[in-house]
Amino acid sequence: MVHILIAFIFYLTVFSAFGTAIGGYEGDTPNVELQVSVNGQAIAGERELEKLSSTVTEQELRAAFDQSLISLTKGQSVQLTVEMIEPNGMRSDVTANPAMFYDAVGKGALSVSNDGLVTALSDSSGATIGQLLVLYNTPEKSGFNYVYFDTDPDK
Amino acid sequence: MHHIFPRWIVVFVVIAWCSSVNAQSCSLQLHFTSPVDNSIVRTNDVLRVEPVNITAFSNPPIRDGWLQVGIIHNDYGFDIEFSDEMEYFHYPVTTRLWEGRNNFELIGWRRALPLCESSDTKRLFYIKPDDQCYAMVEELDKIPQPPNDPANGFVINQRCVAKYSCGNRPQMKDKTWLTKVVPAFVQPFLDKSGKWNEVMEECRQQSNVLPRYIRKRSCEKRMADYHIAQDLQRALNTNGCGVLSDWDEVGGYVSECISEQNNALEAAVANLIVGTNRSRVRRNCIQQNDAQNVVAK
Repeated sequence: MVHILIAFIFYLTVFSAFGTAIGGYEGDTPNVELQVSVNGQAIAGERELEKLSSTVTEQELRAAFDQSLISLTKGQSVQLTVEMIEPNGMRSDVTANPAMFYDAVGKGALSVSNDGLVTALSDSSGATIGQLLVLYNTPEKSGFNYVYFDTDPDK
Repeated sequence: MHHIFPRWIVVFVVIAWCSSVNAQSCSLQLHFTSPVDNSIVRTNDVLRVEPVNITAFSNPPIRDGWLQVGIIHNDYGFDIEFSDEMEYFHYPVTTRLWEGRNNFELIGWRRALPLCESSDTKRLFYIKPDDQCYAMVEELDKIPQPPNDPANGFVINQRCVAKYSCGNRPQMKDKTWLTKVVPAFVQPFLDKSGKWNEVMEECRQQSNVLPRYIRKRSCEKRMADYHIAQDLQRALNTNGCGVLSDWDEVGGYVSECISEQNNALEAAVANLIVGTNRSRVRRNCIQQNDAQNVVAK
């Protein structure tokens, strides 16, 4: 009984010290891709732009980046759709999957719900581009993307 | 053959052939052994003679028909000339360092066919010990960087940008502006003023739960975004928006620093984001200045 208690305390200590990853994926690289769409239109996220960067000029990459920005006025919301693409090409809608994790870089510009509804906050200065992490993570499959939002009132 | 083709066509084809071969036929590489290239030299004098140990490599070897190989220091002609027919040089040079950036360009020509010209540029920085701008780099050096801390990348990048910006300042148009802006930009992070503690805490908490492969990226994005939107914006609003050529030059160092620490694909996109964000805070600064001028009138 004492051994079980010691083992439990040890387990608790180790996990609270190092934290448990969302979904528990332990790999060093993602093994699925996430394609984000708005109103049925695929958006080039960070992963797509990074791949594109090896085949196009700096100017062409800049144009693709500008096109990838999702414009939002303050208080406006947009619903994202996220598709997981597995290495065999199989696609599935994971937008509201419990393994999804959405997180805005910088808390002042964007808020996001668990099912991918993104809102431009009314106190956003729009000084920097809104960046949203889209992450799918289970012990077996993990993938991420960042999508960009333009909440610049002067644009 | 001369009967079939006009002489000028023959000459043109030979030159074109030589030129096409030249691109791959020879190369020169310059290395500083002491001090290493990109390093900062600190002394008490504004201009002083500093020994710089230079190694020059050539491919094919210099003995293979090189006519002349030499080094141009800050675009002021051959400072050092090599004439030895050797494969490489270890050449302890005593040269006068200029304050700020010191470019050394190794350049050489080969006389044997295929004719060829090659060059390689490296740089050193000379900064006086009491320099206020560079003091920020020294403060950033004191920040501990525990292994696997996701914030390390931001600190390294911050140091890199400050180092290149301060190092190149003597060659910039408005030196006073940069001397004020760099400390104003870096100090809030050093002091952890504003919302820096909150940002760092979010970064650490998230790093405990995100998959390993994305912790560094997520943290660096968070820190860079806050740093540009808050610290840089305030630094510019308080000390002026800077002349465009200086701004663009610093932008070049930001880009260089990002590329030094990330793979090419990551750097290409990170540079777009940072470049866009930098442009926006400068535009905000200019708009604020314009508004203030209108009020003052």
